[in-house]
Amino acid sequence: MAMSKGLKVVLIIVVVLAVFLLMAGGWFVRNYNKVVSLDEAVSESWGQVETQLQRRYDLVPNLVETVKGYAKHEKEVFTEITKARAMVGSAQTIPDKIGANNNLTSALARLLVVVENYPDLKASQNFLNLQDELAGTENRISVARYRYNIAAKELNEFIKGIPGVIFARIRGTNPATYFEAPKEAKEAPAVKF
Amino acid sequence: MMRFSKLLAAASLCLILAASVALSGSVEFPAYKGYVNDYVGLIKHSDEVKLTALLSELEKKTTAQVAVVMVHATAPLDLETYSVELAQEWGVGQKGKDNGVLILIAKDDRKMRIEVGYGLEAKFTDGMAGRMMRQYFLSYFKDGRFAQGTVLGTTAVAKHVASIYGVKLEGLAALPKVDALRRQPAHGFGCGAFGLLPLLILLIFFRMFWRLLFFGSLFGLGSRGGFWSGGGSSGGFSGGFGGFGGGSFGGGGASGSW
Repeated sequence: MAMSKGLKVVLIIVVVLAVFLLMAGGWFVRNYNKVVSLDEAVSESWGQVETQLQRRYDLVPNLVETVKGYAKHEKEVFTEITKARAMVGSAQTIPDKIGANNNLTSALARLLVVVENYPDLKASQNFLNLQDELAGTENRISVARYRYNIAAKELNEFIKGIPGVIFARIRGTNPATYFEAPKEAKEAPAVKF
Repeated sequence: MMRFSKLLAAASLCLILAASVALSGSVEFPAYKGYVNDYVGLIKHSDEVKLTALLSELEKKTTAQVAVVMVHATAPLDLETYSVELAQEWGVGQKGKDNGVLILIAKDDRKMRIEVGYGLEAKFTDGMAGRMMRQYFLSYFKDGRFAQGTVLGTTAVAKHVASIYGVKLEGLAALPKVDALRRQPAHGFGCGAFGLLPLLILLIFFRMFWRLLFFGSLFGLGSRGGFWSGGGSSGGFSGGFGGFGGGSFGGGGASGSW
C-alpha cells in the first residue's frame, strides 16, 4: 500500500471540507444576491409607480381649472385638492408618498362627485378629454401599484423568512411598504356617457 | 415496509406543495389562437378570416400586433386587471418596442376595453382609444349588433395603428369602411352637424380611390400563401401565425360598457 491509512483519512476529510465550503460559499452568494435582486425589483417597480403618480400630479391643475370654469362657487373642494396636491409635492419617503397620494385620490373622487351636479361641464369636450386622461392615468397607477405590491410581497416574504432574514440584516435591507389603495379609489373615476 | 410509508409521506407532501402552489398562482388565461380569439362566437368565420388577414398584414408592414379577444366574463378579475394581465401574458406586440394593442370584449359583463402597449401610448392616446371605442364598437353593441361593431372597431384600430406607422393596409378593402373619428362623443349633442362634413369628404375621396384599391387588393388575394402567410405549411389564412412578440403594457387605453 502506497499511502498510510492516516493519510487517506486526512485526504478524505480535506476533500469533504473543501466541497462543503464551496457549497456553503455558493449558498451564501446565492442568497445574498437574491436579496439584492428582489430589492432592485422593488425599486424598479416603485419607479414606475412614481412616474404614473407624477403624471396625475401634472394633470390636476388643468382639471381643477376646467371645473372652476363651470363651478366657481365650490370653493371647499378646490381648496381640498390644492392642499392634497401640495402634500404630494412635499412628500419624501415612500410611506409618506403613499399616504399623500391616497389623500389626493380621495380628494379627486370628491371633485368628480361635485362635477355630477353640472351637466354642462360633464358634457364639455374639454372635460371629457380630461376625464379620459384621468381615467387612463388612474388605471396606469393601478397597474403600477399592482406590480409594485407583487415585487414588495416577494421581497418581504423572503426577508422575513429563513434564511432571508439573515441576509437582509447583513445588507441592511428593510421590508417594503405596500401601496394599499384608499376605499374611494376602488370606484375608479369612470367615463360615463 | 418502513421504506414504503416514508415514500408515501414524501409523495403526499409533494402533492400538497404542488397543489398549494397551483392554487395560489394567478388566474388561468385562455391560450391564444391568433390575432382573432373569439371564445364567444361573436363574429362569423368569414369575418374572422378577413380580420386575421388584415392584422397579419399590419404586423408584416409595421411589426405592430393587434389582438382581439372575445370572452364571456372576466371574473374573478375586474375588466382592467384582466385586460392588462392577459395582454402582458400573451405578450402582444414586439419585445422592446411594446407596440401591441389588445381589444377585449366581455360579452356577458357588457364591458370592453382597448389596451394599448407602452410603445403606442403616445400616438394612440387614452382619449383616442375612448372615442374609437365609443364610435366604432359601443354604438353598435348598444343595438345588439355585436358582429358588426367588433368587425368595424377592429378594422378601425388596425387602420389607426397603420396610420401611426404611415402605412396603408390593402386588406381594408375587404372590410367595412371606417368613418372618420368624430371629435365629439358618439351620442353627444351637435355631433350630427360636425360629423357629416368629414364623412362627406371621406366619401368623395373613397369613391375616387375605390377602383385603385379594388384592383390592387384583387391581385394580392389571388396569390394564395404569397402575401398573407409567410411560411405556414397549412394552407389558408390561418397558417403562418408566429405567436406574439412579448410586448409590454402599462395600463394605457380605455374602458367602456354598453
